[in-house]
Amino acid sequence: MSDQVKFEMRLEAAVNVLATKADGPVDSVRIASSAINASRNAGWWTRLTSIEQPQADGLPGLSIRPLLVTMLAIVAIGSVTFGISWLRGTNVGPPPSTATPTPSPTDSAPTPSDSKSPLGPGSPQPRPEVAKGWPNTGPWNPPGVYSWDGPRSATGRGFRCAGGFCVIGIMHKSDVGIHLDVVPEGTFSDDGATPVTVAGHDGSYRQIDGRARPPMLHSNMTWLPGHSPREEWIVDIEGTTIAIRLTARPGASEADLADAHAIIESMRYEPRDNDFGFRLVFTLTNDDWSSG
Amino acid sequence: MLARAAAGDELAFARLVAAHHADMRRVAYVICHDVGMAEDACQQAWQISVTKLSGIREPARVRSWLVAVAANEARKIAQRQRRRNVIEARVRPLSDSRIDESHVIDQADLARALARLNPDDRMLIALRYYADLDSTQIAGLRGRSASGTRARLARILDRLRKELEDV
Repeated sequence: MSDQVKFEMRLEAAVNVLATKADGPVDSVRIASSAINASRNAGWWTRLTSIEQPQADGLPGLSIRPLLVTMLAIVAIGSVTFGISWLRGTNVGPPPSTATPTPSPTDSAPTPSDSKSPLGPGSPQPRPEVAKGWPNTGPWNPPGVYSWDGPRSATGRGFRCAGGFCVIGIMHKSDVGIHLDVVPEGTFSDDGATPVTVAGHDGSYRQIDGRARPPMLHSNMTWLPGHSPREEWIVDIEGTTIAIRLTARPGASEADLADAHAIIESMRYEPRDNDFGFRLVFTLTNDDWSSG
Repeated sequence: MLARAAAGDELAFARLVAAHHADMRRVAYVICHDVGMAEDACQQAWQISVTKLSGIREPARVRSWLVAVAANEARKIAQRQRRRNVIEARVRPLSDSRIDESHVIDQADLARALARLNPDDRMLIALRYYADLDSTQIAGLRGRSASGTRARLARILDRLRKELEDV
């Protein structure tokens, strides 16, 4: 038996003992009457649709709910279609044979331009834009959707660690920059911070005195030359504490700062099969940003 | 019992509480480290459950679902508590005379190591090692990928192992 398995067994036993500290009498569970009433009102639907077969031989229980829902949906769609046709005075039956021209061999198939017509029935559905990963080091990253995928990105670009702190993303545009760091919990200050939402998660925001670098950064190498930190967002996503910092050179334009803010505000969370279990997706609205 | 509880039958609901409340409270306690907060998490979990029970079609899954709801509520409470930066000074020592002192992992050490994890990680530990759910089940209940959950559990285990074996 490996050490890992032995440790897991010991941990399991210890967690079980620890959990028993919660034991005690339960007098009552308080449920708001509105919730009970809502449940009762939903009861007719439950009784109607939860006719389940008992679980046997490891097979999952079957329910007729999906079938009923499908049937109701078909009936509803059919009724609406018929109703619309009737209101328009359209003949819902097959058209008279005299009105249907006999197809000739030359007009049997629609042309490619027909099938691509934006209003035609065969028109392709718009697909969400695929994130391009972290911006390239070169200039002219085109506007679009990009992502920060953590230190093990496909390209490995933009990953640097020093003293346990990882600067895993830096990008800049003229006099402003955005840093993404993974920081150990407890190494950042909440002084003067206000609660905010970052990428759909609770976080904190504060303005930083540009002359004083945050204490958790071990090396000036982590900053862009001539830049000073201005603003900081700290967000805990699934146990990973991420610091997003906006840096700027003296005299950075309001337009560039607003552009950086727009990128940070566009950040959203996406579950992902990587080391962190997620990635941050964001939008660049111009081609001025670069990670080099 | 599940169908009747879902339809608003109070007796059936009380039986459901009797069957699962202790488990839910234990899982919540591993995450919150506070009996009062664990109880609050369970109350909140039952409030949520009463309106959503009808969505469970497989009675065998009711335990894992209820425990996961309680764990999630406990995680939220623990996170709010952490943001307040409250430092709790214990009047009583962490060790408990009811606990077998010969136990391999000391309870005080475990409590300290768990307290250093964030609530999300504590929730994974509670669901895996108390509720006995595997990575796939945990991932399904949380809407995450199984491989991501496995990787994260492995990282948490490594961290706990280092902390507990270095004591």
